[in-house]
Amino acid sequence: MTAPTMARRQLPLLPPAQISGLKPGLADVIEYRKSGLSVNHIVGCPLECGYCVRHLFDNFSMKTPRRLMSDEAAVAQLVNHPYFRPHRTPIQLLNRATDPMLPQVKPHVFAVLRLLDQQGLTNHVLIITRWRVSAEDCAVLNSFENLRLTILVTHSAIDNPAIEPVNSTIAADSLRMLYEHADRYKTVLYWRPIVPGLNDSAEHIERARELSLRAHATVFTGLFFREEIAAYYEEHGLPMPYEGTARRKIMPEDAEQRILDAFDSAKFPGGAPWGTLFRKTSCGVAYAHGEADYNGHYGVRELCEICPPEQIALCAKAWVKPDLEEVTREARALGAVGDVEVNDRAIVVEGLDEPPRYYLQHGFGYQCHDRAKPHLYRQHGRAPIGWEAENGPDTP
Amino acid sequence: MVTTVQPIRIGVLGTHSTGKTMLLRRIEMELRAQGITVQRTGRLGKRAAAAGLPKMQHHIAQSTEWIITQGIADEIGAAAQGAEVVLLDRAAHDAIAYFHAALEYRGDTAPRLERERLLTLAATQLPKYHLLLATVLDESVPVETGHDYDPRYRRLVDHHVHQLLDRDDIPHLRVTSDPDNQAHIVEEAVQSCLKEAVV
Repeated sequence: MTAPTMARRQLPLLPPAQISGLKPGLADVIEYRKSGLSVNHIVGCPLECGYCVRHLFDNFSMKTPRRLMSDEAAVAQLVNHPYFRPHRTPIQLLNRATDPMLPQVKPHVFAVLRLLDQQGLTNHVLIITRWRVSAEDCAVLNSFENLRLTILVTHSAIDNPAIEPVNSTIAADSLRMLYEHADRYKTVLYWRPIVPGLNDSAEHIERARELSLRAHATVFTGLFFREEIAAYYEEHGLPMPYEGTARRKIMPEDAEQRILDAFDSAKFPGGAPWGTLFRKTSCGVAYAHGEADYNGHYGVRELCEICPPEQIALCAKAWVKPDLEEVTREARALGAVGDVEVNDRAIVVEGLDEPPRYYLQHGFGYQCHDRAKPHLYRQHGRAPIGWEAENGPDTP
Repeated sequence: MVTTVQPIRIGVLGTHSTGKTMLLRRIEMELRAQGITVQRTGRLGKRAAAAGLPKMQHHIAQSTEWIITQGIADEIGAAAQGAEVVLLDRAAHDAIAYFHAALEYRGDTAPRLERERLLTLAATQLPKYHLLLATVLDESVPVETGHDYDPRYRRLVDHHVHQLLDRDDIPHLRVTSDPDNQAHIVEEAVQSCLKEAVV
């Protein structure tokens, strides 16, 4: 569809009384997540993706985007955030409660990018969309001189319209458009959520593989299937993909293996076995920009087995075990209790929530784990559902 | 701000499980993405059944009248909420088609006066529709599991929907099961709303 590029009218501000009625987590515009400091000053989305994380914020029914504050105020909150480091901290824009490329939202995304770029900041900025991207949009995205910008296009190809009402061809067209016009920015095929029985057939995998040729990198992940999302599935009579729910994303071993086999068997002569396929978002983003992973996933070596050899070499070179004393000093300053440990995979701390852990992780380029939430061997960042227990080192 | 005095009304009709609701949901998403306020009505059949009225092949004059009038009330209510676009799932003639199909299915007839009264009631709504979308049955498309439809009745409804529209020259767009056709219809609906809505 050739949707008009101009929004009809400015996105209204949500009245303060309604902002105070939001879940506190949603009203909090800046949130430190694994992929970076996330700016979310616009909430509300008409795209009714059944698996959306807005279920977790009781916000799924808000179909019309609204601003919580001005773009200038949001940028000020970001750059003045205690965990923000110029040129280092990865940034994500509007990845929680709306789609950044909706016609009404897009002008604000561009405004935020301009404000950041004008400050000479070179931080990574990640934008995740499943909506339309036009050639004019690509021109704007190419115009930023300093930021390391990545547009990730979510493409699930789930055929059940009750779960995935947005036609996946929209995302596929956007990816092709972005890739074709990419000059200063990079584009990543964000192939997710992969759900057994819904979009993991051989045809689905082949479609994704073909699409991956129109992206600088491809990242594949499973489904967040938490209680709120399971409740939505139940309420709407949708097929339940799993019996249980989990804190982390679910990516069953069998589906992963079939994906790897398909990518491997179709590799280019002389190409890496799995092409430019990655398990982790930051790995794909870093590869697209020709850099080492900023999350230090190289420490969790079994994640790297599918990465292109030159990328593994790049990550290996950049990955330096940090000095325990320095790590301890920083961790204590953030409030860590108990022993601080630096092992061959990660920094291990106690008593720190996710934001300070990510602050340490992005600062040192080294994984930072909570002793109370261990990442088991071959289960880094994913739920145990769908995985056989295997012998492997007990990792923190 | 609502700048048009009356909302734009788009109605859909067609036999069951032909993608009517999904079509309207897609139009709704597109319009909201443009910042247009939208209300979508629906679930008339289920509500009629809950009210104790027979439906599907058991449709009678009373259930037809209930569905038409309830649909009108829903539309007026949605407009009163300040919606710039009201998506009607379903348009008034849909109930007439279900009624006529049920009569034919049962080999039954209804008094001419009763049929004409209901048809007139449905016709009063026609001037309000900005756009009418009529889905076309494609029996090769599998029906959602869990629905136990009588295929003959489903075909009859499809027949009566299109017969009514064609006989009275009621302007409408035909929506086939072809995804490209559906995408085109969605685009047409959205563009016509964007043209109509005063910025």
